[in-house]
Amino acid sequence: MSADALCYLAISEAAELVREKKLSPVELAQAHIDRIDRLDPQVKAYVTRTDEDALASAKAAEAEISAGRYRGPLHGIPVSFKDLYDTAGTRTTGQSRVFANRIPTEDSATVASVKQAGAVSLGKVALAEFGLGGSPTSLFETPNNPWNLDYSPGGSSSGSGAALAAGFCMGSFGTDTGGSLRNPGHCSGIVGLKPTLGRVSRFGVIPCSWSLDTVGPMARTVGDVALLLQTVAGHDPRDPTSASRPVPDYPAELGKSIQGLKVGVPRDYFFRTDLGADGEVVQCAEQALTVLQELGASVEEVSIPSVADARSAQMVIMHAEAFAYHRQFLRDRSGDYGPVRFRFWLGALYTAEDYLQANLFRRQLIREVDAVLERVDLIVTPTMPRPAPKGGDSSPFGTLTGLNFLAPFNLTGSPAVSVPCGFTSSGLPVGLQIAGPRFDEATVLRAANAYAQATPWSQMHPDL
Amino acid sequence: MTAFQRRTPDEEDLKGMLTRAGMVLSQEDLAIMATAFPAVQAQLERLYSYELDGESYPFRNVFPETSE
Repeated sequence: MSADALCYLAISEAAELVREKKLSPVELAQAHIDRIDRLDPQVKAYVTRTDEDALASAKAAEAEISAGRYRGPLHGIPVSFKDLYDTAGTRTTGQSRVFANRIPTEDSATVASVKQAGAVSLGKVALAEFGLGGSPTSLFETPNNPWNLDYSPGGSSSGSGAALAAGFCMGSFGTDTGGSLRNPGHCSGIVGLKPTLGRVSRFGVIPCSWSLDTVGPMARTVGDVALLLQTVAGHDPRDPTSASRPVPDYPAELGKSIQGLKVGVPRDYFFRTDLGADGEVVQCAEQALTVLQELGASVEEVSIPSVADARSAQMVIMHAEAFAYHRQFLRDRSGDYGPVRFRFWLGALYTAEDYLQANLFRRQLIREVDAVLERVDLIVTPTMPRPAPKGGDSSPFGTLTGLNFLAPFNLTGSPAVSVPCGFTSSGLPVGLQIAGPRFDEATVLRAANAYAQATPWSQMHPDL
Repeated sequence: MTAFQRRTPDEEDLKGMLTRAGMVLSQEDLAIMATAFPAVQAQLERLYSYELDGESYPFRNVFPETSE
């Protein structure tokens, strides 16, 4: 197998070879490092590489496995982290000059769990500044979409999406406050899971919005996302939002049939080309629904009456909370921020009453979505209204109005995954969003896996 | 005046809020911020078009599962 082919193995495939000692973790890490050396100058996914540490970790993994101490499916597997995750001894910047020299002394909960599982960290990957801004940022360049370098890989976990699509790591961890795991899933043609708020500890992750931030895994296959989630899910008293719910065996759940699952489709908002959704994107999602039906799921129309205003409530909550976190820095060092400062300043424009009204709206939306999920098992939509946007500098405020398919599930705290479901005629990936009841990632992943196994999309890679 | 009838802030109100929060913006930055004011106003108008009551907290009553 060529070195480049190694880089596109699924974690589950590589893990089997590593466990059987047919593949050395050192060879695997070196293959990734060589590929990053060769191709990342055009993709720009990594902001801090840790090649020496990675090779040392890979050698340690190899020694442990040779000695019969195999830790599990992440042992010796190359991964990356969005540069919001604290990494002891390695700078964590939020891709901002504000934190350009910030070197944590402790790993975030996710980084610690992944290291404990024996994974090999290749470094930190790019993001929209502090997980909120667009392009440019105040520190480092912004990455390009491996499917077409003129386009954005999506954000804010942009480096994670780009790195996975480009074969620069096998798994990555991002964050999602308004869609930032699913957006690059859609734009970069990979799988991004936003778990239930509370499912994965946020300890040691630079916050954007306390009541919305969710951390989660990204990979090229649903099975790999399940493996990554298994490693990081569970209660952590250091995170006040962390839930003490039991953690199911996610990989084991994937093998179950979706025969009889009820899928709800809110066509009255999420499929509306007359409101601005792209026709090819909607067509991909409709074809995916046909596949789910062929696999035994039933599809029925549902409606979430308030969903069109979810973005407004999410923006008020997110900007108010982000402003609270950044207020002192904005007062003292606003020149160290890129255009993201404009988004943070929006948070100063809301009153306490506005914030509470947004939270009351949030509770109403949760009731509406919960009512739908009493009738059906899952809600399926296109992940985003349109394919990846062109790269280059974005509006300082992003998109304040218009269709938004991601924010509703941040407000409701629901688990939601984006799984590849096709391509536009111009060759840009399209994602299918599958959301489910809080803490039922297992059913969300089971449906996504059944769909992915029945279609070729997750097996396709860009030609860099 | 109920929340439903609340007057949405105009551009001068919003500029005053930035100043009150201690933010010192250049004229150029303030001009860029002004371009967002109509969208902010539209968002607030949409949110206040809902007559919502009861109590809400960022976590308790929003995510009961996370406050156990």
